[in-house]
Amino acid sequence: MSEIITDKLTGKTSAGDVTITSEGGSATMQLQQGVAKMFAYIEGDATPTITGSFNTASLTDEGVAVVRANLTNAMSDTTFTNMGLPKESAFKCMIQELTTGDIRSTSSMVLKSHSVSASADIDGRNYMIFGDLA
Amino acid sequence: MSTLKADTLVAADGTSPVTLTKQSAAKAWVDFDGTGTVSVKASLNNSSITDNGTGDYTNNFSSSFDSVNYTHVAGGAQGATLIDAITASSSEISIYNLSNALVDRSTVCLVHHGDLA
Repeated sequence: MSEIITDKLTGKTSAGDVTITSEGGSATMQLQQGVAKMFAYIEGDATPTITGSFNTASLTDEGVAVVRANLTNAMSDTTFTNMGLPKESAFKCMIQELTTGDIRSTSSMVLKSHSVSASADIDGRNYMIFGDLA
Repeated sequence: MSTLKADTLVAADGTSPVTLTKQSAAKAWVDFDGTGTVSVKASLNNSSITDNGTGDYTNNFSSSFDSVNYTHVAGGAQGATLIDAITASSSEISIYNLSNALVDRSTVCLVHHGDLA
């Protein structure tokens, strides 16, 4: 197996565009498009704290059940894919609700957690974003 | 710091996928508005969204997976999501509100990991 050891990959024609081949060999895709642009695992229902993260600068506790993750490097616009998943098993019908109106900005993502019947803080929150960085 | 500049990365045989150590790129993702006439806001490897009725959508891929054994993650605004029918070329999801009723939502997000054909 040949191996290239380098610290940085840059597109030759366009700096932000490196193409990779699919496992089956029949398709190609842009490497940058498939890489997560942000993730964060947040613990602590009363005092949310970043336990593990990438491209996450800080948290803002916006009240019961609502925690905003602020990005270090901003997205290029607000049309990106974001995910939120709970950890706490007691929330059997847990729904991660993104609040309307301020669902997301180019520099942050909000998660709102729910129990079966009401908004509630939760001990573990997972955030993830795919899309284009600025 | 060294920088490698290239437009395409392939394995040494010229065709196989290159190994990205400690990396597993998503093979498809989409952010779409599921209210009214469905519209895709941003995506990777998405050819279209089929509106199957209230709260029920099919994400159609431009390039198919090599099997039905790939991973789905769904999120979005104000709803719980369930994965329904899965094929190599599409993934169907349903969105429910807190009363377990199917609902259309303006922000629906999907991410898929696995092997493309």
